[in-house]
Formats: sequence, structure tokens, C-alpha cells
Amino acid sequence: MSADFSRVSIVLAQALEAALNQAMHLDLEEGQALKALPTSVIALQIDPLKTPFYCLLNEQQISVQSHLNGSADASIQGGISDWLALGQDHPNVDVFEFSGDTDLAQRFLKALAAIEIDWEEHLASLTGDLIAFKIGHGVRSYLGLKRRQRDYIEQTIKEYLQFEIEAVPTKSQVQHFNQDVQELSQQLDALEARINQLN
Amino acid sequence: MSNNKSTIDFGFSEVPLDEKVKRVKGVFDSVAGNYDIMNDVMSMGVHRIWKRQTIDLSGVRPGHKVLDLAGGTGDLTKAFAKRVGKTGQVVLADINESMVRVGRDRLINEGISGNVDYSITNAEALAFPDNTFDLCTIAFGLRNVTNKDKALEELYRVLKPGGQLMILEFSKVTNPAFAKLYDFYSFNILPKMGKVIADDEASYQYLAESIRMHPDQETLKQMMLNAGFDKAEYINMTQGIVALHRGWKY
Repeated sequence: MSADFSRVSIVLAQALEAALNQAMHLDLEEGQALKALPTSVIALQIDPLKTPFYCLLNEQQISVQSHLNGSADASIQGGISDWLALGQDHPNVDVFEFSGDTDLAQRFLKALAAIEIDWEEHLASLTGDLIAFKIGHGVRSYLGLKRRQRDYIEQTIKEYLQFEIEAVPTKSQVQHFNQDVQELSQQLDALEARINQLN
Repeated sequence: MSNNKSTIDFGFSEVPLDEKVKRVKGVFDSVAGNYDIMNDVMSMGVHRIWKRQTIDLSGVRPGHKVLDLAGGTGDLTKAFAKRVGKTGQVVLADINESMVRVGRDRLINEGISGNVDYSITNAEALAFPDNTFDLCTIAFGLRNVTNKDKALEELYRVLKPGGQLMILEFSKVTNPAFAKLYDFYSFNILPKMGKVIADDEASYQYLAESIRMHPDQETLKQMMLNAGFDKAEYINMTQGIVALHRGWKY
């Protein structure tokens, strides 16, 4: 037997297909932006994975597979962190590389980035409003706590480096230093002018 | 294979050539209603992975025409219909009317229609013009065909140049230790499960026997080349319990 056969890429393709369709289903606008795209095939290259994933767009749903007969209509390449960042509030789509039908590729990417899921609302349909609110409140509190802890650690490290061991200057110290350098430079200029007058 | 003989295998028995079609029909008429449940129980769900791998490797795309021969209850047809879209077409074909009916009802109930056609067809005499399909599949069906060589020739005929045939079928287990375990399961547990779940021990005894009588990986590959395919290869799945053969027409 001699077939090129990557079970991992097939499993990943299946997982990606399930994730995309579920995201469309949960989206506040039910993935309308994706559904509006024409019937086509878009190749997704997720670096450093070597195998591309082919998204088959057919109106109401997306199928994903790791093999394709022929070539895709458009291709999008980006690092795994860039793809994951699409889920954030203001993703940067400029980091991706496009080929083939670039307009189609950009529309696809923007449609993906536009997916917005109201987790609390979907959770409420399973658990009821009160429990969903409590879980949502808990998650928001946890994320807020994490953000405050991160800020606190940043501040502590900054103060240790600047005031305890004085390894790095503070912003005001740098400003004073720049000001001193500027004054010294002006004094030198003045001195140079006087010396020139004496000559 | 057995073209010049007056009898053919039906499981471990030899029956007249004409008799096999009737007996296979009897088996599938009997199991049609419980086919999906039994497949899940017998393979512990692994048949879904084998089929998913087949779908992925097909490379099918929007606009393609696909023949799902021996399509049974429509697992592959469902996946292909989603992929080929409205511009493509999938034909679910089976010699057994009961299986086509179960498959058709299931797909319609799941909202899959418009790009799927149904056909009661003998694999040895396909009712389609030459060069019709981009992809032909036959999953767990070839071993029940009386004249496999003729069926392969027909599949070659209806494929477009550049088209691909995919045969997903039980095959020969490659690991000897695992083969013993598999034999024990097939001949001792499987028929009993058929008895409990479908109240049909004999049909599942036949399924186990027919798997052992089916050509092994290399033999089937050679049969595909003999039928006219320009290239053929196979992939073993789950230690060779199942093999996916692929053939191309150039």
C-alpha cells in the first residue's frame, strides 16, 4: 500500500467542521455573513500544520475536508495564533496572506471574525435565566479578577525594578535625564558661540 | 473470480449463481429496519470513522456527480449531498428496495433533498450512461455482489475520465493475534448480537461468513486493475478489518 493518509488531519477537519457549524448556529445573526457567500471552496492553511483544510461553502452549511479534487477558489494562510485571534473583539485580518479569489477570501475571513456568540443567552435556554446569569456573572468576575491580578503583578515587577534595585529608570527620571542632556547641549552651543566671538 | 462456475459462495455455502441475489436480498430485507443500529453495535461506532475517512479522502467538491452504490441507508449519500451542493448530484443506488426505501425516508426526514436521486440498480448492470460520475463509492456492498468483476467493469464504465472509485469493504486482518480475536468476535458474538437486537441470527452469521469469503486487499486491487482501472491502491483501516480501495480512470 502506498497511499498518503493522515488520520490526524482527517480528525482535525472533522473537528473544524463541527466547530464552524456550531459557531454559525450560536451566532447572534446565525452566520448570515457566511451563508451569503457563494458556493465555493476555500483552502485554509494553518501554520505550522502542513496540510491545508478545504472549506466547502454550500449555502446553509460548511463542510471541511483535508483532501480536494482540483484547486480551491481561494486560499488563506496564517499562523495558528492569528486564526485563534479571530475570536477576539477586534481581530487583525491584515496578518493573513490571501491568494486566488482574494475578495472571496477576505469576505470569508471577515464573516468568520464577525461571528458573535452570546454564551449567556444560549446557556439560559439550557439552565434557565437565573443559573445562566450566575454562571455568566461568575465567569465575568473570574476574568476581571485575572485582569486585576495581571495588572497587580505588572505593577509590582515595575516597582521592584525601578525603586528597589533601580535596574531601570522611571519615566520621569528618563524625562529629567533628557532635559539635562538638552540643557547641556544648549550650554555647549552657547560656549561654542562665545569662543568663536573671542577668536 | 468465479465467472465460469455454475455456483458461487454465499457465506461459507455454495449456491447456484442465480440463487445468491435472492438470498442476499433476503438478508437485507430482513436487516434493513435495524441496519443502522446493528452497524453501530457491531462496530462499536467505528464504521462512522471509516466512512468519514472515505468522505475526506474522496476530495469531492461542489458540482460533482457522485454514485453511492449499495448506498443502503444513506450515510455516505448524506455527507456527499452536503458537499456537492445544489450544482452537484448524488445518486443513492442499491439492488435492495427495502434499503433504498429506508435510506430515502431517512434523508428526506433530515431535510436532504433536491440534489439526491434514488435508484434500484444491479451493480452488474448499472443503469447510467458511460462517463457520468466524478466519484463512485460502494461501501460494504461489493462482497454481496455475485459477479464482482462485472460490477467493477460497470463502475469503470460510468466513471468520467479523471474520476475515482472508492471501495470500502471488510478485508483481511493483518495482525495474526488480532485476527484470532476478530474471528472469535465474528462467529461467536456477532450472530448472538444479531439475535438479541434484530432477532435474526442467520443474517448476521452470513455477514460474518461473507466477510471471510471476500477477496483480500491485494486480490481486490488486482481485480480493479483487470477491470480497466489505470491506477489502484488501498489503505488498511483498524488493522485491516476494513480496507479502502481506490481506483482511477484516466
